[in-house]
Amino acid sequence: MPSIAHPLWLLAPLLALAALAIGRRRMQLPGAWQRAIQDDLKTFLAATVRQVRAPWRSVALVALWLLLGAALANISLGQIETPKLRNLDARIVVIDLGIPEIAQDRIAAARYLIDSADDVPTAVVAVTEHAFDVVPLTRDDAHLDRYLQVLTKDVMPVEGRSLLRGIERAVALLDRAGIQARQITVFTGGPPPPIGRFEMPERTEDHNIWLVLPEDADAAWRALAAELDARLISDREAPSVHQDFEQRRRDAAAKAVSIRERQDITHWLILLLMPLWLLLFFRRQPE
Amino acid sequence: MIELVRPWALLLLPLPFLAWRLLPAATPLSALALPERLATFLKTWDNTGVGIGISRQLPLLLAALGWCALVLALAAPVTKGDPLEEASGRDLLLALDLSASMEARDVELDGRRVDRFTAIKALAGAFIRGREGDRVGLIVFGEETYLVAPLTYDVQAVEGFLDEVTIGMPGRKTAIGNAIGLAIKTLEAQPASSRVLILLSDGDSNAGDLGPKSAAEFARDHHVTIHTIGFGKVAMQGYASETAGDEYAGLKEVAEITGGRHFLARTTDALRDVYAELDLLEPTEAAAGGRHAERDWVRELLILSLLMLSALTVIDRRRGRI
Repeated sequence: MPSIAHPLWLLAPLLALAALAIGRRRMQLPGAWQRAIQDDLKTFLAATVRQVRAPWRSVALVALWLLLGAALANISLGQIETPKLRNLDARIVVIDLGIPEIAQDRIAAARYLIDSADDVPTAVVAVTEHAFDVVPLTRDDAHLDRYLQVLTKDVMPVEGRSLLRGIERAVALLDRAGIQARQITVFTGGPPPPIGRFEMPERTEDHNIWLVLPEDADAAWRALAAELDARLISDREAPSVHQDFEQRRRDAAAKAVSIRERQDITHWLILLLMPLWLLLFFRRQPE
Repeated sequence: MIELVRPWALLLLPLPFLAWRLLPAATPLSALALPERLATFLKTWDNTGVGIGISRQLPLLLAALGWCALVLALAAPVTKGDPLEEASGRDLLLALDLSASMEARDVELDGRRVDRFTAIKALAGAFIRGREGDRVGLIVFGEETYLVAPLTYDVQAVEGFLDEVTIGMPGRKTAIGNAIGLAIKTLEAQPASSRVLILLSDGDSNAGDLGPKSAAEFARDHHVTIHTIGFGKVAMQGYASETAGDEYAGLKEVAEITGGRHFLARTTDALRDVYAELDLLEPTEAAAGGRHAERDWVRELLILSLLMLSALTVIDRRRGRI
């Protein structure tokens, strides 16, 4: 079934109208010969002016605009399925169990996020002073839900609070699997913990870290988020986490299909464009 | 690194030059009759290459640049990114018997006498590590049955979970039917082209609500192949009752019903051979990958052509050619 990846580009010929309008305005500027010569002198001075419009050129330009627009729209004759890949996309849900009063609330918020998006490879990391893999990267939503139902702060062997340990653990899991489209969602709250003595993971912005708080963030949280290159949101805004990840998954899926495998007709359109473009190289007759 | 999908397209680069030389000349653009002095002056000014000279060459330059962008777009430059790992499409669950009889220290591992479970852990760990490309999960069973690791491509994590399990954790008896039931439920929840359960036990089923035979028939109906491994010496002291009679008859029947194979491993070396044979029976496909994330630059080049075309359209309009 034919499909168009970027249909808006089909409107590109409208840009040609803008170009024509700009060109026309320039024709009215001082210096255009029609304006330089008084009307009553035109019959004498411009007696031998010939009509210089070149119809073939207009036709060629119109065809070029249409074909370039179609080429940019990326028309495909058939859909290529993304190959089955094990490192295309994954998200890690890090749950901060360091503050007992809000631990259950954070687990519930994490469950809500996981439930809202099926079929996303997800791993769960629980963190206090140390970080633990609770569930490995899996699409088994039922298993994830079962584990989150029984997860409590009491299962953690140590107390304390180090968000960075959880983030480090999540980054390590994603790096180990070589995941392309990634997201780390940290469910936390209360007062922000100090960054402490731990090393920051490299290129934190590439890991797409989100800090999800129960309520709106204060200045201290904003400072911590800036330090981590993380985005800061409240539970209310949690759907945006999912939207962001979906976009990343789509981009990664597009890159996973090689241009050799695609059934788009872009290269045929370029081949059609080429002879028309060559018309732009016509010489003018020597004067 | 940049790679061209159609490098032959670069041969088209000189075509505009040939068109310039070989195509017939077009009608002159303007033919305004000017007084001779004025015409001579304008020609002299043009020859200096200032003003009119540049503007005359501009459309040609724009067209040439647009042509180069088109040729490159046809050549389709791509930059390769990180490697992409293909999945085999096979879901493989490993079900390990953790009943009390696994405590028997009657096997040798690397010259040391160890209990059965220690030996199984060591060899199953190596087997799991080698399943790159398969989605692997881990079930442990005794009287109860637990899904310790859900189906995941992270074989290292499954190995980690295997390290953490201990004998007797799910009870001291053996409920093979229940383990098969949980495996079917887990495998059925995920789409897969092939579903395999490898069930390792040192005895016949003596607990559970679901008999192994019924469970195996259920597995066959759900297209789950079960390979069974009977491990350890039978009739050893303390656990003789579990494996008395036709040794591992139940396991053999389960494998036969589901189209799998039954293996008998009395020593760790034999178990190692069984895992090697299972690797042959269910080969991994990870090595066939070689795919990379790919970013092509065709659209950017076409946009460059479009910009050149816009400029040419403006100039043509300005000069009254269209």
